[in-house]
Amino acid sequence: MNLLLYYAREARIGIRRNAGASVASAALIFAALLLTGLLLLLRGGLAGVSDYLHSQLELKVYVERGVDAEQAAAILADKSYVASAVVQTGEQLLGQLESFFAGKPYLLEAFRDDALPDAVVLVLKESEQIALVAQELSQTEGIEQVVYPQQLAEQLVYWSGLLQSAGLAVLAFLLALAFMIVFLAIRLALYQRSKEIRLKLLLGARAGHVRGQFMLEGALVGLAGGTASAVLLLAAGLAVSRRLTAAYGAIVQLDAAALAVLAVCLALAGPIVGAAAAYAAVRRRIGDA
Amino acid sequence: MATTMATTMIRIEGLCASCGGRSVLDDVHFRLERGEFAYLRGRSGSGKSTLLKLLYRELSEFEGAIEVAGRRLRDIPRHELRRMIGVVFQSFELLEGKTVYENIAMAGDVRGMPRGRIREEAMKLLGRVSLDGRANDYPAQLSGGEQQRVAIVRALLGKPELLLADEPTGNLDSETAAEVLGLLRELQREQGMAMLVVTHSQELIDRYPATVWEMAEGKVRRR
Repeated sequence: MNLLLYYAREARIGIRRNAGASVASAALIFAALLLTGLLLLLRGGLAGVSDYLHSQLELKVYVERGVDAEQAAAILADKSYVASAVVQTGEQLLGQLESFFAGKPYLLEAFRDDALPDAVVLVLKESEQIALVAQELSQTEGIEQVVYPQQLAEQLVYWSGLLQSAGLAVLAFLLALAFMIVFLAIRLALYQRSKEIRLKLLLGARAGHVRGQFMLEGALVGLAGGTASAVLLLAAGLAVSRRLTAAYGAIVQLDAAALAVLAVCLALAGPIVGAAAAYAAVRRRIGDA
Repeated sequence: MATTMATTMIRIEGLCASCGGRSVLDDVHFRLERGEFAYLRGRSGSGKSTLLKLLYRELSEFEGAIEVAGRRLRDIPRHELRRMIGVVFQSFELLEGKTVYENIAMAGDVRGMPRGRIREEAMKLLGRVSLDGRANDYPAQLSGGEQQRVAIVRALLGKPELLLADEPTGNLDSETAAEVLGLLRELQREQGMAMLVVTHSQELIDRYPATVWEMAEGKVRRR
């Protein structure tokens, strides 16, 4: 216990002596872990949206000009997989767009110049069939285009994958940078305190204890960065979660318990990164003889 | 053999060591009994410091046999050996950024001694070397002799069985050197520990006579 308290005191003094390097290390660990947390949150959110889109049964069939939309709807309604078929005319769609482009009439003019086609809104009996049905319909004569929500889900999954890959690369870079900064900070400390280390060993300190002091320094720096990222992520996550739940409760839900677990993981990851970097810095410099 | 283990502090038989390919110690035989005070004398480069460094394991490459307190040196874990041995250096080796007390307390802290006991022993020893009242000073505020006395107190904290002093008076004027050596001799008698002092000063040896081991060309002989 006396030893633990002593080396904890020494680690605190060491951090104070290398304040600049310690703050830089903690800031980088903070940035890397915050990015990790944000990526995980984003992935969770997009997965929710994707699941929601996949569960949708509706698809929109645009008919070619000159084709009677009412007749097409009647034919499609007879299909075994269709629950309902309702016509949406170009004028009706334009009416919806008017409210969407409110205050920007010049944008709406583009649609007026080239009249929107009529469409048939189909609701299927099962969502699993939607891609096959869309493919079949798009090859049918008289149908110009088939649009359905799962297309957006696929796009979301594609962009989410890209974002995650890019994010992981940035994350790996930041973590490597944080590791290097802690490593160099501890190496600098070893150089500055070489006389002190030699004396401690001469006075009977165990090499493992002296190494432990520096690992504790790294862990404390990492804990500062990890805790800061965890607190910020938790606060931001809860704030965003409240808004999203209020606006799109059915689509996006951030579980507060999962958010808390993620925050704890980030807070713990900080000291692990810091201690590992410190260990790498000291393991061959302070040896057992 | 049992008697040897009980009374002998250092036993060296057929010790050979080299440094940078050059033979520094050649078939050294040496003995220091428990509670004995002895000098190791020799010219610069004769191997005195190498012998001491081997004893406190700053160097570890050697051939032959070294026993400390009846145990083979190689069998004693380094930290344990260094807790049995106090070392005083010519250059004092005090940390400038720490106070006198902090410098001394470090010896107890690294061994896990309770803070209360460290303070008690440190203050008692500081009083013994006439430095009471200087505990909160920094080494730069002390004279050379005072700094060496602080280093002695640090070496004695934890009551070592053996004290090795590597030219402890080398950086001091002759009067202060005699004072410091006299103090070492008194403390050795009071605490009953074995002490080996490396010096090349015949004047000091004459003033505080004891066994002298003469070192020349890597060999040691008792004078």
